[in-house]
Amino acid sequence: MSERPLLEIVDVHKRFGAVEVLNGISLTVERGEVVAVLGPSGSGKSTLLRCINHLETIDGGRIVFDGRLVGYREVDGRLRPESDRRTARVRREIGMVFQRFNLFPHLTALGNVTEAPVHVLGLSRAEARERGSGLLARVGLGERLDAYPSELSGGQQQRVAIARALAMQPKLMLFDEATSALDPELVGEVLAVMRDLAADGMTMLVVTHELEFARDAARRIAFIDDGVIVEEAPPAEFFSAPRTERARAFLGRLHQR
Amino acid sequence: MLLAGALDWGVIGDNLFSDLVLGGVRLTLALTVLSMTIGGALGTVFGIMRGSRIAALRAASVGYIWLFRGTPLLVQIVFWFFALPQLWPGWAPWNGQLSPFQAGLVALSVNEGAYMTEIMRAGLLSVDPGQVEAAKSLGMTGPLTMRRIVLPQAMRVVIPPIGNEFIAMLKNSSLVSVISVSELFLVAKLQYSSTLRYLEWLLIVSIWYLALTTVASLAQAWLEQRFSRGRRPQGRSLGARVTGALERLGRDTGR
Ligand SMILES: Nc1ncnc2c1ncn2[C@@H]1O[C@H](COP(=O)(O)OP(=O)(O)OP(=O)(O)O)[C@@H](O)[C@H]1O
Ligand SMILES: [Mg+2]
Repeated sequence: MSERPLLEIVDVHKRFGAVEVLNGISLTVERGEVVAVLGPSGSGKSTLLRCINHLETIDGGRIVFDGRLVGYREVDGRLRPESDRRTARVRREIGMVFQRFNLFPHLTALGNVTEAPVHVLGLSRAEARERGSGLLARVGLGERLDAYPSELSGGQQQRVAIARALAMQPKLMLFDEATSALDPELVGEVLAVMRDLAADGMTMLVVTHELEFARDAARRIAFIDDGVIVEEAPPAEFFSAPRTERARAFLGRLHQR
Repeated sequence: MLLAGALDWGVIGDNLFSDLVLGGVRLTLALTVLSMTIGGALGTVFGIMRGSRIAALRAASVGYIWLFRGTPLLVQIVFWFFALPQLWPGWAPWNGQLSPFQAGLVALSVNEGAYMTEIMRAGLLSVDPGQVEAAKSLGMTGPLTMRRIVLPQAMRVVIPPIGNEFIAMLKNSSLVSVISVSELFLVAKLQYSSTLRYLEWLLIVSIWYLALTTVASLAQAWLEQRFSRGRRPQGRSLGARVTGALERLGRDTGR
């Protein structure tokens, strides 16, 4: 089973009303791989990530994580919605980092990081504290354990959010424009943590506008436009010799800025 | 013979802390605390139902509010004590009849629950949906997310209106005097009816109601402070919150 890719997205369709946002997306992520997802605004990048951990339902295709369907179970060859409990079980193993951090404002940094390990994994408070303070130290916040999110800068909040996801010891990390809401001078500290994770062998699917990060840290680029993957290539190839017209146009627009 | 304008302070002094009055205070407090607790629980359940994906649960919640907010509390009190046993003799598990206190408590709780449903609903809606997504992404189930993430954040929003409800309840609980629960007001009523010392007895109960509502306002200010933890701007000082709470005292209305 461990030969199987960690994540298999097969011909996934997603509509919002009449608008087809994902038009048959297929993407495979191997264990330990870092894949950067690029694409113009509104192309469906966030929707794709949100389908992977079933924050959105899908209208066609399937998403298989570590050998298990996410959000559905198969009955007589058809997909039926899975129970809240079982979906939650799969989500434990998929960390997600949001553009707007979504830290729990009523909990301290350490509280944010220990909440799910205690209440979902059943760790003792002492174990969770140890794991949590270790992770916060790893993202450079070992001194701010008792700070509330409102007392932290955006970059610090996002690092807490990364530590919070890591505390579940996920097999896959999803990043949805983790640095887009940050002041430019704070972007670097968050990217550094992400690079560190990548170097450590974490499997990551990263939606980003940071081309430099995509080039250095990703093994593969998946370029999305209009809800389909238009081009998939190693970064060196994608950035120097994009095969498709749409990718060339996208990169051209970015370089003009 | 009573002389016009002759307020007898002696009556007040003799009775302010008499066992009779203190008994009334105790009942008023018991009715308020218990009905707010039960009403709060009802409001939480119906408030969550109000936002449910299941249409029947939403409808039940809307119907509950419609019925109990749309009829006078006084009518509801009389209904629970006199009319329901007529309609359905043996409905109560306790030999078919609720005591006045029990009926009053049920009436106040169920009525309060309707108002609390609206308050909880607003509180739940005030929580950023991103919070639920973050909780889900960590593998938290719906009920766990509600308990650990959504409700604690809703508290910050619902505490001021719940404080107002509590203060209103201290006063509205006097309505159960109509089914002869000897809470504070009924104690006074029985006394002024027999002694004709209206002014003295109304002063006695008013002093007590003011004392209770003042303490409740201070508690509310303290709670607001506590539940704003982690929120920036740190906002108003405790002093300002106390003043605000006392100002609201003058404003909130009865049922
Ligand atoms: N909940 C929703 N309801 C209706 N339409 C939606 C919803 N979420 C997304 N969309 C639409 O789906 C399309 C894709 O949105 P998505 O957020 O996935 O794009 P994106 O690639 O992440 O864009 P960006 O780079 O701006 O974040 C957009 O046209 C958006 O308006
Ligand atoms: Mg997006």
